[in-house]
Amino acid sequence: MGHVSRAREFVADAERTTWHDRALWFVRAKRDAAADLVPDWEALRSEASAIKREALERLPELWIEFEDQAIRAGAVVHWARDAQEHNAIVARLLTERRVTRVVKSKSMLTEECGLNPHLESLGIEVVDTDLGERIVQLRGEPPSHIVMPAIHLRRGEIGETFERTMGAPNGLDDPDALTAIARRDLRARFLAAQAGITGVNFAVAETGSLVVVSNEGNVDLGTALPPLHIACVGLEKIVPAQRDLAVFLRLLARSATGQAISAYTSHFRGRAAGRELHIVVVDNGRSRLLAEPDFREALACIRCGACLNTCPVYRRSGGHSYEAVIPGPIGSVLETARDPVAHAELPHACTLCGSCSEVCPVRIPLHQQLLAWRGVLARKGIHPQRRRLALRLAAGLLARPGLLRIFDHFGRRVARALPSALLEGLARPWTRERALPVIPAESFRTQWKQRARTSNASGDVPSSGGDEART
Amino acid sequence: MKTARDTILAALTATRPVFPARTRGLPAPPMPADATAILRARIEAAGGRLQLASRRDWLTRIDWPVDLTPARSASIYSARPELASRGAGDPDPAEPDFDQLDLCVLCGELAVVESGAVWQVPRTSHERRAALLAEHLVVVIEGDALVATLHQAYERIDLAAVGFGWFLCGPSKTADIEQALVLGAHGPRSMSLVWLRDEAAEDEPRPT
Amino acid sequence: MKIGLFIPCYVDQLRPEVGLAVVRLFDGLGIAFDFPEAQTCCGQPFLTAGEQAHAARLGRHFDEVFADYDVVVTPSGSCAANVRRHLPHLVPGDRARETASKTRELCEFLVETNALAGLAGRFPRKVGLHASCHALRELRHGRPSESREPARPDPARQLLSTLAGLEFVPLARCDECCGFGGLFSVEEEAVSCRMGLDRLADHASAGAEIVTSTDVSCLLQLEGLARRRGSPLEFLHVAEILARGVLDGSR
Repeated sequence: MGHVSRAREFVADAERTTWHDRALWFVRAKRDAAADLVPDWEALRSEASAIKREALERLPELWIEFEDQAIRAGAVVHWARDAQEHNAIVARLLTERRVTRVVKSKSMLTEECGLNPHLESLGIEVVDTDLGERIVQLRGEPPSHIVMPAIHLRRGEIGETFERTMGAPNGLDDPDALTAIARRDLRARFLAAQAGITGVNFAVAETGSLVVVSNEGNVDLGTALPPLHIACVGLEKIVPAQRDLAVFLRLLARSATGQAISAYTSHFRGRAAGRELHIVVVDNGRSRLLAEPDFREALACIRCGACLNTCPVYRRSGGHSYEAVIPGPIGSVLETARDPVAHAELPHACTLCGSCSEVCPVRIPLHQQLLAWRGVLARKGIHPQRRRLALRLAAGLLARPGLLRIFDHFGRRVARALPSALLEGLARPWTRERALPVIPAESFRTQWKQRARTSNASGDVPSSGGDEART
Repeated sequence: MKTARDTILAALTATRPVFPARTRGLPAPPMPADATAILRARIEAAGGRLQLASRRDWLTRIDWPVDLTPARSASIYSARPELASRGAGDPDPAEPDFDQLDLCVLCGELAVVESGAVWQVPRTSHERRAALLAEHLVVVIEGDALVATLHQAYERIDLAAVGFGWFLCGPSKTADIEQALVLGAHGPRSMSLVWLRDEAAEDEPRPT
Repeated sequence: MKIGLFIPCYVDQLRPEVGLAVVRLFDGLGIAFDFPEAQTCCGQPFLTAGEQAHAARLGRHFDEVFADYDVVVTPSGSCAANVRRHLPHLVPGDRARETASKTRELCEFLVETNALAGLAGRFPRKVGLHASCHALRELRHGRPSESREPARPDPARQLLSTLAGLEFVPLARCDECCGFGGLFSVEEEAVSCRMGLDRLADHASAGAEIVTSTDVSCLLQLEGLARRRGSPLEFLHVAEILARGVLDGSR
């Protein structure tokens, strides 16, 4: 359908839009309050940005170092060129061990690769254990936010889902009670799981360590109980040294939810006695994006979601309007890179206000990249069709002062002579909810000319009382 | 035949982005003058508690989240010598023999003032499971155990020597239902950081 | 100093009174300037639409028209930002770089030249100052609410503050976008209007009588929504308030 139509549907429910906008603004405000308590906040952002760019300049060496360290510690490292290879590797590891019950913590990479449907098609049950992810899984919907997957749902809707799927009492909508029900259900699944799949927030080249964060502890329950841990990590998630973690961890939770740090920041290295650690390193278009000078900085993303929370468009259209694995400003950059035709509307679902770039902890110039995408889409001819001709005409007019004078003179008279209903009709969609500006009798340039003529004639400079003309 | 690894590394090697020059080097913030107060505030903001006590009598002095009298038969996993585990099974089996535990007491290594977090390295996977399955968690640190920020923490930690370690900050929590904060999402509902110091009175870490 | 006045295309065609207010203000302050009539458009709407070739063509024309001026002043944060940031990338050469760096938004020009020094203006009204996203985040007029950089003055606020009796109303969200965004206003019309209505509600509940901005595009968006709803809010560009406040006193 595209963002324009879906956003229109979303906005049509004014009360829900207000609720959604306020919920996300609240998270943005918590981020602001957390940043207030970090005196070196801007320096921290610059340092994080510098580390990420250094890492992107040295990806081959860093991954070789990581792999060497990880293998020494007893982990197994696999490489996947694309989503299909990733899914095949994970599936093979599970089927080889006759695993049919898997728990999974939040990983946008596994969403991107479509892992769950693939495993389910092989008869493997995958339970998403992050509460928000579990809720959307039970509802059969995609997450609408990369950090708060169920932010678009109200407690009553979640209550209905729990009633339908877990026998919760009818009408229950208290968050504590609902969470308690999920806790009981998921505790049983953790205990019964034969494997745990996680994403990775940071891979540390120097030590071969993986850092994975959560507030719920589901990453740890999913990896401490089953004997097999499969960690899926994108190529861009590597940092050179353990000291670099301090920079990112001071920024991540504050940017995401306004917390100083997540409840659990877990560091994994190698295999523990009786357990296996398999690391799947995934490309899936990342090396291709690295080759794009205008967009490669988007690979610095640490998936904090701050740009979603601050985006006035995202707040009023909801994640599902983007029809992409990752919505919001960063999604509109990354997803358009993945499929420019399917996502051609996304770089235009933006007023270029620049708020996203201001909150990005790694200083990705998001709004500049969205503008750059518009240029790319126009050049490729993938572009909202209607307006190309209109824009060409307008540009032609504005490049010729003489032509502009004619349009100014005659166009104005025609427009002022038209019945307002007709003019409003012609000027839809501006006029669906907005009054047209009153068309002035004379443009500025005409009045300026008149004033110059008057002053030449009389020798005096008249006062230009024109700004009283409009009441 | 080229492996996926070869293909990926070749693609990365062929693409050598060069970003505009930038300066590196962020000074680590110093220990603040009111470190204990800040640490307490950060832990409380995360839904946890900070309790200060002396090594001598902390067992009887601190506020326990469960009643420790044997008659109450709370199940306890304890990594501290002063408190015995009970009903928490043999630390050495391959399978956990509890799926529920009332209290887990761990030894932490250092606490990060700015974050309100404690670095802890479980000695065994049994201990890690206990920390996750317990209803209430207490982590004990001793003496000169405060660092100002994560920068100083990572200077003291050696990840190459750690198979598994974590920063813990407050109890398990979620706000996934309408941003309403709920403690005890999957793991412990309460978390206390207990700091044992030589003097029971205020012995603030020196600001740097 | 040879000053060239650039009046944005939509101000020229739809809100000439803003341009006339600038003229009146300059005349009243004794600032000599010129309005080169060959000017048309800085190219911003085309650039934001992704039409870089058109934007470059108009940028070249802008560069031509203002080649002989020492400074270009425009009552538009977004046009000034567009020229400063994008012109050197669209039009090659040193002259375009110079044209870019000599272009000023009106308020920053008046502050830089201390033009209002010693003048006691008066404008006893309640004013909601709408932050233009481009003036704020591109030109750094003021500090964006997301940022923790050292605080920076906002020239528009500085100038309006010199007017006795002018009261800034406290907004709940001091720098959220109005939703105009060029073609966004008609292509993503539903979200655009919702954004604008939220801004209006903020100004209204803060008690504003007048909404002002350094960008007429923002004002056209907000006023269009307000007029359709019969709101009593008035919409004036900063130049209009300054002209009335400084030159007319309390009129």
